[in-house]
Amino acid sequence: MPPPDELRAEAGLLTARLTRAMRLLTAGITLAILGGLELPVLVASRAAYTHVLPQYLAWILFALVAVGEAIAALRGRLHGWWRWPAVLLVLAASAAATATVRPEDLLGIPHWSFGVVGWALVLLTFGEPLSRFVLVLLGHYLITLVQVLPGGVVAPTLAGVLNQAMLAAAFQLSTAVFAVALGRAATGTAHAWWRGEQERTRAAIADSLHADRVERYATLATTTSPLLAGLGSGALDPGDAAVRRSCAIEAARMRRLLADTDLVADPLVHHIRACVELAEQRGVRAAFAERGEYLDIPKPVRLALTEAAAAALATARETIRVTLVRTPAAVTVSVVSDAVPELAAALTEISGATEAVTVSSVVLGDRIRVASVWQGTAAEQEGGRA
Amino acid sequence: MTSVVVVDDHPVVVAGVRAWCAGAVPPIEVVCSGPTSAAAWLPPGDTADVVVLDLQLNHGTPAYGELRRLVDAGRQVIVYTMRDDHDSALTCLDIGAFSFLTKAEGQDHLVAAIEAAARNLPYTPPGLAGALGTDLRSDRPRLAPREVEVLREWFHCESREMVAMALNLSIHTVNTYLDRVRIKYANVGRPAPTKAALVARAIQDGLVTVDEL
Repeated sequence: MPPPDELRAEAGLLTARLTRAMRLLTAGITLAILGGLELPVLVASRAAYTHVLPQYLAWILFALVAVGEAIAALRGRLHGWWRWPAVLLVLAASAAATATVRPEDLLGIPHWSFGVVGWALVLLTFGEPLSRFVLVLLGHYLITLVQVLPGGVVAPTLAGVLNQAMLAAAFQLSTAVFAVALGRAATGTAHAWWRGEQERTRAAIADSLHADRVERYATLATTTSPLLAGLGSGALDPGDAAVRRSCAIEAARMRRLLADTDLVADPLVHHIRACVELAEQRGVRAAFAERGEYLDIPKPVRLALTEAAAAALATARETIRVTLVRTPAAVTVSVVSDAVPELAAALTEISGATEAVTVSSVVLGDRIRVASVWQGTAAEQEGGRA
Repeated sequence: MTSVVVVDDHPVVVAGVRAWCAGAVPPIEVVCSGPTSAAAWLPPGDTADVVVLDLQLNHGTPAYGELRRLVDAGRQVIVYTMRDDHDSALTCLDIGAFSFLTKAEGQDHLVAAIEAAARNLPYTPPGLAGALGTDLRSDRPRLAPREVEVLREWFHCESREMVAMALNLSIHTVNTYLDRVRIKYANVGRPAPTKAALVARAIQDGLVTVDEL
């Protein structure tokens, strides 16, 4: 089941976007009708009104409603408290306009306000249940009927009136229905979006897990697999010290790769500690110390930096010192080990793993010092400045 | 004979320090020990030449306050701690500790550090050197690139011979670089009587000139 909060938020967002477009469109239609159809009628039929002022005021009020709605939609705001007072004002202006039409022109061409009121009402009832719009529209017809009936319907036939009213109302009603339907469609779309998103996330996780496995296997295939194959076929003798050393190095390498999948704050230190633990389990006195601040180091560089340290920790006899120094200019992983020939032999196998990391070694008496240095951060920083 | 008071709440640590001091040539006398800094304030600890202070008393917050009070009273304090991090080392040095040693370094460096402290000579163990060599704070003293290299190599190798070999310097030069850095640090930051003594001694010995500071 989708988490309702997330879903509701998404549906709300979609509805808001669709409603906004719909309101803008309706406001545009209203303004087009007011300006293109009704204003010429109003100006041309000045003689048909007892007073012209209420006609103009009604026209201005309807236009203001349309413009106000368009601005509110653009700003992403819904109606405020003024919605229902505005509905009453529109109905009052409509009544005033109807009252100033000469009786013989009622419901005729000069009675332009009769049909247009519905558009203003559609705009003002946006986002409300459909029934409210219908009630308000029926209220408008009722008021007009009460105003018209005493004088007797003169100009058009009753059927003509009904026809005109139905035509305008059908457009207005369908707009209102469409707005309600949009809300429902948005909820459905949000559901579909959420299911799709879940599906995509699952696929991405599976892909990345698979890629990690392939990558780990590829890393081990070149070194661990031949060793295992040699041991299996009997080509390599477990009694041979060199073979045992290779096994220790491969074990450290595997431990390091496994450590890389752990979610930790500082993967480089985590790598090294994993290898230090292995050495300690062999009874080696391994000291690890680090200085400097955390740096984000790419994974291939991380592996290359710890390669020599892993080999050193796997081969150390009694004591080993592992140190890490991180500065913005360079990252250095250094080991001082008491296993001089073993580590020197192991280094010939691993040197040149990555171009970005330089490995150097110094032998002094019964100790060997190996330093792996990466200067990538400094290069990147200079590149960034330039 | 150099006298020492050990402030540490672990009996094993105190016993270890006593054994190392007894085995030193010439021997160092541990006059008193205790789990709180009271041992350093009351007789016979109040007149000891050097205070070895554990930063992690009562397993609570680091005892920076105790360190500051001892330093302000003109005591030579060597911080001897389990904390092996950058910030602790730099903070202790700022407060005015004579030196900062992690417990892993004790066996190789504590006796030498005590002897140096008693004679107002600088002493920078590898862990502290690592912290100084990666110090990027804006108010740090200005160090020469070579000095920074020596600090970092000393941290990596723990062997002056190896540092000398790696950087193609004489052992004497390596020592000089380490001492000059320590003096530069003693010369900045919060003033303390012990820092002043360290700087004065360095100028007397010709390790640094007044112009360099």
